[in-house]
Amino acid sequence: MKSETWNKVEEIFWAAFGLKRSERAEFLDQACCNDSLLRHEVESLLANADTRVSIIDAPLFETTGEFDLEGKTLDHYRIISCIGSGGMGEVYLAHDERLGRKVALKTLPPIIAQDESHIRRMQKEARAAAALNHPNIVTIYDIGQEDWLPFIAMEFIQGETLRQRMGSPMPIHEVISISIQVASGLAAAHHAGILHRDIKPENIMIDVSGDVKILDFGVAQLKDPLVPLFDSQFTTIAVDRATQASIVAGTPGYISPEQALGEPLDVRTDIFSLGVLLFEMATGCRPFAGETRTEILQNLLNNELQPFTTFRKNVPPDLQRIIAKALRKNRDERYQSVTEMLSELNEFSRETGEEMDATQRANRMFRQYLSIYAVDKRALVPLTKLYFVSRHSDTDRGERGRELLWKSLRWGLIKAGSSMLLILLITTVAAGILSVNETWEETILNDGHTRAVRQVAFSPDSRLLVSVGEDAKVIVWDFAQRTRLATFVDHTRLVTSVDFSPDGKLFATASEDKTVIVWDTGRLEKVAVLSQFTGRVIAVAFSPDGKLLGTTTQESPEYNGHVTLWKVGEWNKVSEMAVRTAEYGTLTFSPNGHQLISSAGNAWDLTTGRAIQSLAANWMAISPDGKQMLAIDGGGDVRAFDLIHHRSTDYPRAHQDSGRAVAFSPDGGFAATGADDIILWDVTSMTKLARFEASTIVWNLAFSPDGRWLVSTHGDSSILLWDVADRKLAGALNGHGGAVRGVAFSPDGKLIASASEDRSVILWNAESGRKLAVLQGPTHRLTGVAFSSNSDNVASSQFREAISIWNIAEAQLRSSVSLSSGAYCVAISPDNNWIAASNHVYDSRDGRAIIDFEHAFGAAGAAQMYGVAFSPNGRWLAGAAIQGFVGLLDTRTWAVRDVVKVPDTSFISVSFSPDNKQLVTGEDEGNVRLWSIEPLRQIGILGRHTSRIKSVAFSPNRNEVASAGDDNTIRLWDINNPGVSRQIGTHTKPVLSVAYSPDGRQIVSGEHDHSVRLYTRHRSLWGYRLN
Amino acid sequence: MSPSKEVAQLLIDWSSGDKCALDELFPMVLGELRRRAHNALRRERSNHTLQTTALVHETYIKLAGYKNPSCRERGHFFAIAAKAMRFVLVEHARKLHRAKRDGIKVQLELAPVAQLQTNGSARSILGLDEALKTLARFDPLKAQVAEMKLFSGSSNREVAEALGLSLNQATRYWQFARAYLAREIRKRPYEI
Repeated sequence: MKSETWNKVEEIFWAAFGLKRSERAEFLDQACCNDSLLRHEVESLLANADTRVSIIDAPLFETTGEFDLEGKTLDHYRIISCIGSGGMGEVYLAHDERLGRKVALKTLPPIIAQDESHIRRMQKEARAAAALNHPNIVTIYDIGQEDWLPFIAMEFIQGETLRQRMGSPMPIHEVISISIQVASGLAAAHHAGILHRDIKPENIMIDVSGDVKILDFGVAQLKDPLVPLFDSQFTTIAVDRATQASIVAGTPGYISPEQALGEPLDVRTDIFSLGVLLFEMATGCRPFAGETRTEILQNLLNNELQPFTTFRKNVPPDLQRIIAKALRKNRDERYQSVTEMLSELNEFSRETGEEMDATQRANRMFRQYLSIYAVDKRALVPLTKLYFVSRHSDTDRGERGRELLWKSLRWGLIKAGSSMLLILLITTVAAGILSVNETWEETILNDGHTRAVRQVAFSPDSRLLVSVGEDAKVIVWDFAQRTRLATFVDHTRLVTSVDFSPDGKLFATASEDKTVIVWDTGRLEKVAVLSQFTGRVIAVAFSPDGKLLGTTTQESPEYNGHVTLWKVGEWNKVSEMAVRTAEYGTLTFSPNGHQLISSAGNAWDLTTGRAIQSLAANWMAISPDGKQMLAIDGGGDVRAFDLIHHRSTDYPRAHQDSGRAVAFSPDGGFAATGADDIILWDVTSMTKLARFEASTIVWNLAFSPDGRWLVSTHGDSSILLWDVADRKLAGALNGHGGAVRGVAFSPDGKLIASASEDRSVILWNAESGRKLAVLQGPTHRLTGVAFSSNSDNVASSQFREAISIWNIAEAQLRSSVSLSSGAYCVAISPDNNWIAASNHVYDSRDGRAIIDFEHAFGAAGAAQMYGVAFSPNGRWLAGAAIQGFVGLLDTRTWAVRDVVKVPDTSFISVSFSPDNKQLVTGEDEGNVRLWSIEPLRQIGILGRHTSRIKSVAFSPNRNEVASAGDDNTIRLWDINNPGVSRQIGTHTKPVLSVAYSPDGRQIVSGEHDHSVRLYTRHRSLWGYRLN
Repeated sequence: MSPSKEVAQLLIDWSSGDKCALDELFPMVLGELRRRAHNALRRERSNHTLQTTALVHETYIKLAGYKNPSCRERGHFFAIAAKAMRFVLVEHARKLHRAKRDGIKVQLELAPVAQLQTNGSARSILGLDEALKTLARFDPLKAQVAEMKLFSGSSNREVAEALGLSLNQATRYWQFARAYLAREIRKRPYEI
């Protein structure tokens, strides 16, 4: 902004600021005299003069949290690593130096140690808990204090907490098994007179063999006395006393009403918390939930338990009854002891098992059967409904269904009464349909090698790149287009090496199948096959004059082999030298062609034919001027060898891993070495310019002949491109070289587009998974991608500057829309007239902004859409705003139809249902919300991710919603059965984007780990595949 | 010269126009702020709030060594401390943000800075820093006012003294800068 404009803005701001709100508009009309920009500027500042923004108006930070104990010793415990943290302190894995065993060490707030009575109390509690010797209670070994820090040493359990296990509703048999074990542990503790007071999923461990252990007995009580200490201790420091005073021991969401009210506690408090635990395991939701602490407590104290069917439809009635009894608000109405509850849980467990009276069993089975499949009465009769439920049945239900069906059949034959016949009829039909199982097959779209890529070579004109790998493939790439031109499978074993002839007309590939194949670059055909080898060929190289071809073979396990020189064109042996070799390595001609050097340690002067001094290493390369050689060895040491003066300089431990690759840039200015990472060196000074981290080991490095790119090949089959000037990852040949933020299926279902932070869009053939084109040119990281309805064009949004629109047939940029700020999403209207992004809607013909969301949604404050979606009929545009609202615009008038603001969240993604009537949104808080649009209102929450959702999508048949997020999951939700999700795929990093294929059979995902994954749905009936 | 005397002298030098004094002061203040943040955590580790203001005040008492300085000296100190505090917090937020973006669990080795539980996420601190930078481009004085208010918790009077403004000016500058920052932060996107 120009300073005079700024001064003017300020001047008008203050003048208007002094006025009443009602008078401001009129004043601004005059003061800004039709300068709408100026007016907007002043108005937006005035609007923000009184709005509270927490980052500005609250203290910028507060100190809490952990500090570094790793490597330190507390008493005789050496801390190894932090394995978790809780409300009271951190838990570390430590080594007991005295007894030589691993322990879990829990630290407690130092403040406890500052009062004698607290220490005594803690010791008493811990001693009592330590006396509890029960398989379902974590054994406490020791309590102690080092300096200012009190700690408890206990049994180290390898496993996970119940919280980590939960996620979504658990199978009923697992719920029962876990709750019986927790109840047994609690019963033993209660018997010994110890309450837990803080039963919650974080305090239950499940070890690797499935045994359950309760953590932290008696610890919760230590929380109470902390409160008054704050006053005396920290007078100089601001403490929010109001909040501190209201702290109740226990964890909101799990505490009993009497705990919330601060009443004296007894065993029935633990029973209540156990009830909450069971409820959450069975339904995936907490019985008394809420957004805030106050809300939770209010819910707990005032609201009745909601029917189970609100959360999950298939909780067996007996289990419902047990849970409901544990959750009575009045403790006199609960189980009076854990033992009582335990015996009912055991009984339920038995009943779902084997031993039962015959008649009772058949009846119960039928009841149970219905309860598993369809508590909902509607499901009993109309088969379409049953089918509907069934399609979303999980494997567990399918199997149990079959099992029960057979049991019913057996009993039906014995007692073929009329009622049984009816039961039999219904169950047969139902089970037949109900056991349709669904599985999802995962494919990672990766067009190239399938195993480690051993070596690459550029054609001298930089146009082509040939890569060879452990999958026995030779792949020729169009380097500029980053697409695969041809794949040859003529070698039968691992291909080790490739080199281009200096004129670029030929290239040769060497393989462990004991052959070298020479290829014609222009025709992409075989020219010659050299097969007179007696061992694996591990290296191949053309001489600088193009007249000779050198090969290295390894002929025996003792690493004896030969270096052979062949005459190019005639392909006969010129000479052969016996050498020692290695598993892999290089054969290198000096640039003047006078010397030949094998990385295993042999070198020859070709003018005299005599052996000369050399060094041995894993890999080596000679500088273009022939003066220097760089070598890397198995210890990660780099050695520079002066070929003129025969001196060497070492750079020890340059890499931490075994070194495998060295390359010089064409001008000799840079060099690169690779191990499990890549170092870029300045050759003159031999200083490290940059270090590139790679996900797997580096096999080979090559600079492009124009010096712009460094290509690295890796153990995970990827071939990555690094921009030498920018020193950044610029892409990959096999797929993406950066996180994939957007994916879309073309409306005709034939293509998949993926947009990545590597600044490219890849178009994939949806059927074959082949990479069709890489659309390059965007200047910033890409955030989203969308197809036009005729599948002719694809649009990509980027963090800054522009939206690009590409013509698919030509793989060319068609036009671009310049942006004033970044775009985080993009959508094209079904009539292809409009393009919506984060801040505006644009006319697709001229790129003109026709609507500014900030103006449109002015009433709701700023408006930045992280997700936009047109309704399939083109009537509506929905926006998911980071400012925490969902907005709906009428595309005929561009008027705001509706806005709904939700406090304390940020919306990230939105998707329209195929029938134009509903929306689904994804948000920061992890909720998958379902909305109706006429009027815009929330229908319900389908379920939750444990962290931010990045993307949501409605299935084409509108029955299912897919969501993906930072908790490394893709979840599928049945919109008719909220709370129940299934996860698909294996993810170790966040999933950033999901989309359904138009036929609903496939889902594509874009992932943080750079992969694009395709999931195909398979349905089977009684083990037979349906599609 | 004892450290405290040195700081007091440097402050006087700086207020009387010796720009080089700032180059010496800044690293001292930065170091002390970092150290104190760390120590505070070791001793007072629990769930209470240690605010920016408190930390800066404590640092001042430690460094300048006397309790009744003129408002002008305190103001000058706070101007420097605000810069240092901003540095510490932004540095911290960057680390967290990067770690989060790369999907890495924040390691304990990021300590001690990583222990600061900032109000709002890393991204909002970075957003605030960005907005301040933009403001500084066309109105450096207001950006400085805002920096002092936000990062050292200075009173309007201290701001006025340090920057040679009237109390009324300081108040109004802050009000205006605040409106600007609020607007920018609310409309500024963050990278997800």
